[in-house]
Amino acid sequence: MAKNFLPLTPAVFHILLTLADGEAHGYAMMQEVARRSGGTVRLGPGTLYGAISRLLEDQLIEESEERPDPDMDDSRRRYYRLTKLGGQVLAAETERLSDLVKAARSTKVVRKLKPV
Amino acid sequence: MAAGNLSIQYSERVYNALLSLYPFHFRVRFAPEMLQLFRDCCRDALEKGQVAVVVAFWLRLTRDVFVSVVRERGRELMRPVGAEHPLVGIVDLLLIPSMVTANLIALGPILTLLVRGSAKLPLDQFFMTSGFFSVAIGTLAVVASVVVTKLRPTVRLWVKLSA
Repeated sequence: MAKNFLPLTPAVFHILLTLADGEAHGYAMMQEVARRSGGTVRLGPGTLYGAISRLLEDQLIEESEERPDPDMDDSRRRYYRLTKLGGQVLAAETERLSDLVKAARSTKVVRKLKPV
Repeated sequence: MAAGNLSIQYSERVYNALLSLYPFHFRVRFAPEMLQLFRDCCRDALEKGQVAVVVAFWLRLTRDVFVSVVRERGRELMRPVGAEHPLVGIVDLLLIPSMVTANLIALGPILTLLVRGSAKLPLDQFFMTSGFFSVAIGTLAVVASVVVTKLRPTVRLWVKLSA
């Protein structure tokens, strides 16, 4: 079932990875994705909410009613969290990428070359 | 700080206008959150205080809007008609071939008889005129169907929101 969703786009993979650490709102997701990718993946509002819309539709994430800290937070923000299926898809994609890296490292060219 | 707030206000207005490019459903669901996110990003860019940062922010944002509007519009167009209820899909599916058949067998010839009156037409001319009317009615039906299909969810949402 989880494998039907693979391969994930980098944006979706990063969003799921961010939500694996706990629920988050759009701004937190955007910042965490930029931090985690070292600034190489920068999600704009349109890309982020487009991905969120698809993830909600596929039931990989869901909206959370709880607020981590209601006093400190803006009530207009919506929080999202990973569903069980979302977790399984993330694990399957991680496994797929890991196998891919293993296969690439086993080739002579990659073994000889070092990143610049 | 006041100038910064003013810039955010004006930027928000521009971004709000850009949000109207997204499909209706997407806008209703995500526009407030996107606007909030834009406000946060805009504040971050202005806090850095460099013109280059603000320009880079707007360039990235313009690209994001363009790419995501095209993507969401495409997604909206490709969405299956009967996504809400399987029965709606089945009815739509049966409706199209039955309308085409009814058009070819009945509407085209009836319209030909109505237009040409009782004047006796050679068989080949009769079929040609009938075919022309069938194609014309079919084209109109397709256009009407596309319009109704596109309007149906919007009308339903309006009814739900106004209730």
